Amino acid sequence: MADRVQVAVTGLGVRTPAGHRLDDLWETLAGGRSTARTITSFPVDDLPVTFACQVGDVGWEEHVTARQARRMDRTTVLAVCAAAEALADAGVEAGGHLQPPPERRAVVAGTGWAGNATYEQAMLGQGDRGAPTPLTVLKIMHNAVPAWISMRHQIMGPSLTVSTACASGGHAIGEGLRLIREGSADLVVAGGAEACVSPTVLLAFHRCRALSTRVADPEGASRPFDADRDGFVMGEGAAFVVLERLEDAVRRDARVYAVLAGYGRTSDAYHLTMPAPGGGGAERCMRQALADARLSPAEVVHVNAHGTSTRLNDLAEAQAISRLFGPGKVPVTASKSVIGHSLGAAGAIEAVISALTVRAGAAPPIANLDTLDPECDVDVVRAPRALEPGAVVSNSFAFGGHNASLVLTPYATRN
Amino acid sequence: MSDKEIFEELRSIYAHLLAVDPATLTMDTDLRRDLEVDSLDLAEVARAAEERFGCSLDFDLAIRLRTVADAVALVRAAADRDLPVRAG
Repeated sequence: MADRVQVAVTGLGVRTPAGHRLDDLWETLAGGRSTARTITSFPVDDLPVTFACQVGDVGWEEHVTARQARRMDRTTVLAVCAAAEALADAGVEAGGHLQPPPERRAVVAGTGWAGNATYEQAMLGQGDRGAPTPLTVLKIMHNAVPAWISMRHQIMGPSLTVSTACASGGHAIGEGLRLIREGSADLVVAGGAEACVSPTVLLAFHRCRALSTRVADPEGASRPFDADRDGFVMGEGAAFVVLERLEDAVRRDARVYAVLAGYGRTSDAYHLTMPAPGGGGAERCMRQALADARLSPAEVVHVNAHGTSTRLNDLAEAQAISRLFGPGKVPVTASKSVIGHSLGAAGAIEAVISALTVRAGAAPPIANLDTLDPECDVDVVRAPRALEPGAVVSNSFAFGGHNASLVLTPYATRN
Repeated sequence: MSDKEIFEELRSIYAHLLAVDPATLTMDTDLRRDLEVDSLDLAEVARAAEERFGCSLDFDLAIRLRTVADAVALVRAAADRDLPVRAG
């Protein structure tokens, strides 16, 4: 088989409820410390769900001016910060000059709700027509994130938004992989961002029965694969990765977190919220990603599950994992137990976590897993666990039946 | 409302929307050269000024203003046109 371009992950940047530094995120995950808290950023007394995993202070001052921040929705601010830090982390901005040239750079961003806070501000309590400002359109538009990142870093190649609800971040990184492989870009900044924790959105997700209502115990609410799970916990955040050809990364002596070896995307074509029974779409997606990576299921040492803590997702995903890898054969973690479900950002944040997992050779645990759901026949990671060198699969499955799986492998084993 | 009062109100709008120190603003401040504003900033200021002064501004003119004094004059003209003449 002809040699194919290998793609390296050489930079990571995040804004998460578990911190803005990769070390903080990793240590919070390794400690299984939930970041869910009762919301204090707006009144929640009369809401059925009163908690979330929030980012708090975004810490944007070193990346954007106050005037620029005014032109961005919170989602965009999170994204711009994470993307800038991913590029700095990759070391491609040495000497103030981002390499390669502008025309060969690309950005792909995933978001589900884009400028929701701006939209709510313009509409809620503002009469029949709302009260839009000259900036409303520019803050709401789904392409605001790649627009700002392209301007900030002089990215003059492709700049795109992918919107597939809770799989947006995973799809964005996968589509970024394709841009490198097909030769459309030499450097891709890809990731996702979301910031839509609001009374209206909490009510909206609650009313379609997606959220945990464990109001007396927010930190125990997100419990993927646990028998007592009752829904997901809303989160927010952003994560971006820097992708480039492995040979380019090696030539410039870059740190390679992992090789992004495979990408799968399938659709359930079944229901707006329910996964296909048995997790058929999820299984096809993981199979496709492994085929793309030219790996067999036996070469997978770990799965970072979508693991939302909803009854139906976790059951379908567990069934898919069990069928594909064998019952209890591969260690599975679920980062949403710690950082909640940041919707369009989740797949990107979990891809970053998966890259850190590959690099560390260890998997962080699932928090709040007291009693494994007997119907979920998977090997759940209950405490930090050392992994054999091998492939890690990161899953994202969305309302609408959109599925994305990424496969990351250690660089050392590719040599 | 005097020009001075209009200036004071506009100054607080500029300070808030453009993140500039109000003490640095005078009637002669050149919006594009000194404050580096663009048409979006000026549209945003015009919208805020409409709310503050209760009059409607010509946005085509508002986004072409050169100085703070020009902005005061624009608001003055709109106020004289739109606002009811106060008794006394």
